Amino acid sequence: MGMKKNDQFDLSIPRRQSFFAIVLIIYKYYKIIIRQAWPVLLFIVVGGGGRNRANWESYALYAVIIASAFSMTLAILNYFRHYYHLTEDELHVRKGIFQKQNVSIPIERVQTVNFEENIFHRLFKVTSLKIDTAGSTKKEFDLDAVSIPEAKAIRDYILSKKSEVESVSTDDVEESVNSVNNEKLVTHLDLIDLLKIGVSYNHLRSAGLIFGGIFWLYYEIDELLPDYIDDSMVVEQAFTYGLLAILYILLLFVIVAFLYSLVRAVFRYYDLRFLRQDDGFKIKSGLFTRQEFSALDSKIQKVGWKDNLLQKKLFKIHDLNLKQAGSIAINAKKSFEVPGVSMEKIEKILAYHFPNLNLDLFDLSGVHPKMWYRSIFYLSLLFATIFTVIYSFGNVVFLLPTGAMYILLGISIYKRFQKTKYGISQGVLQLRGGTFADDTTLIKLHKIQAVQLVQSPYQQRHDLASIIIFTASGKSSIPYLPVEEATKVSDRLIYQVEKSNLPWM
Amino acid sequence: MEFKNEQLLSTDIPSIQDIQYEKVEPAYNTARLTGSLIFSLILAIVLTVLYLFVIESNEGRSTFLKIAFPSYLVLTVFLFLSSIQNFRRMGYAVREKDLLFKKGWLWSSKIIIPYKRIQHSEVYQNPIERMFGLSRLKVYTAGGASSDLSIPGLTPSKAERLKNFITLKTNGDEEE
Repeated sequence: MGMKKNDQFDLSIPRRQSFFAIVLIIYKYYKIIIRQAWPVLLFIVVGGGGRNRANWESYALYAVIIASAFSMTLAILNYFRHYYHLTEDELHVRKGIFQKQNVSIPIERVQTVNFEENIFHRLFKVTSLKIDTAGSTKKEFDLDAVSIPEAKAIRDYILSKKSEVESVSTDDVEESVNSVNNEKLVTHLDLIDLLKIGVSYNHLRSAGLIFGGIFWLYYEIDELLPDYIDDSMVVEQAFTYGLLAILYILLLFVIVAFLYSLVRAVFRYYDLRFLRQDDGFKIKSGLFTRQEFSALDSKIQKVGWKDNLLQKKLFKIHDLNLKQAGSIAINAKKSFEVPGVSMEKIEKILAYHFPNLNLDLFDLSGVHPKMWYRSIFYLSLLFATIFTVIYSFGNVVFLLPTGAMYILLGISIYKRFQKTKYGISQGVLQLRGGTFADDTTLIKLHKIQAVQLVQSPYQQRHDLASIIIFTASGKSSIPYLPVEEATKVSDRLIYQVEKSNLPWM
Repeated sequence: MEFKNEQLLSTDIPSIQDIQYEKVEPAYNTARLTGSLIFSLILAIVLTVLYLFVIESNEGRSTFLKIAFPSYLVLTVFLFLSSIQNFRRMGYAVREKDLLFKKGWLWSSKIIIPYKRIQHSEVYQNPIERMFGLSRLKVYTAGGASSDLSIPGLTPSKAERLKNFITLKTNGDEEE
């Protein structure tokens, strides 16, 4: 075992990245410069105007030339100064132009090894390597470009060392080393799936916003019209044309939004492959920038899936969400969303992370109806105010859409109450939510960090409480339970956490 | 993973319902009231300066007085009342396997943190607490800032003892 395992690469000798790294470093610097200095660049392109225009332009041009030369020099120096190698249990990096840096990272601290490829990487057949370590935000061992076989050798070496550290009994070692490359395809997305994603993207919300905006604008313009214009005729004409225009714009918008989300889906999720390794998942996707995302079972804290109305009614597909503990424990919440997956595919994925879990065994309970009474009360209070204001000052025409809005929001509050459910079974907490569509979250009980019971003044008066469940990737809640039930549920959750010897990570 | 699902009667599970919460030191109440007093004094000074030097017209002054004075009174009363009520409702409990802390008057909360999920703990004093010889115990988990726990109003020796106890419990569970 050890070094000799990789015949092609002796990773213990300090080495530089692939030569193509220079191009990629330059590209990276350019991206930073453009992001920082885009106002200046815009100024050059559009032109400053005025008498000093010529002067300004030449200054800016100098600045760009200097910046480019600077970044190129830096990139080349960086490349030649950057060495890395692996030892028995550490990663070593030596780098720095002005300040020399020697960094060693214990392999046991490595959380994930990810590859990311943009179009240049694919052109040169290299990949970037990103290593996520526990307890550090700094990207100390990120490589801009290494050949793909070498990157794989590095990853396999790290993972084999890691599993050696983690598995206590020596018998397991050989097995986990061998199974590092053992990837199994769980599911994938084809072009039809991408089409579905594009179609079912939540256009309605954006369309509604634009429609509302146009409606508002129309009335604003109407009020600005000078008095001497014959109101009735103009308004009538404007209304007819306006309505037509709105319809056209709406249609245009829907087409544009659809194309946009389709293109976006293809770019991001093209050839998405959901793979299973022995201790986690790996997801590869993307057309030009091929992304690789790893989620180890130990790091996954929550698994959830949700849909919107279009996804639910048209295709019965969901967005699957894997939420991982952040590498800096608290702040960086890492999650990955796989859109457009059918329940069948979700079940295949769940079977790996929740072996033997039977979703039918969950006995889901609802929450107290005071949850929606209360929200309806506040909503009515708000709308009573709005109605009064409209009635006394504003245009009465607004009453109708406002009324419709009130009813819609009221229904959604009731729907939300109806959909809010929870259940505990087989060591897993299931939370249900959603308004018009559905939202499901699964949390393994031993991944819970803390449980909190909270009561608002209203809840105190009615002997109700909400439960907040903290995990390393954020909190979830069960709202509005009778105090007695809430207490029982938290007792049970805490009991399960304390009884279990499984680590949360 | 092995699959286990033994049946439990709900009476077997220890409940947080019948827990005796320990009160924090009475001196903490005084410390909180002192804090409220300092705050209300600063607010009074700010309002007086506004009244005397910033607002120019007489009209403005009388309107200011009409609005600011009653609001100030209400706010101060509320501040002291909530400070007392919060103290009355505050309590912690040390169980064999977890730490509990409850607080809050209008919005109340009760948090339970198992020792085996505690990342680390520390003893801390803010300036007012130092004046009154009090310490607070802070407990951190991986569940994010809002799941972190801070038990105020402990004597320094008690805070230290509690911290050592937690550390022992946290490490003890890891070795199991």
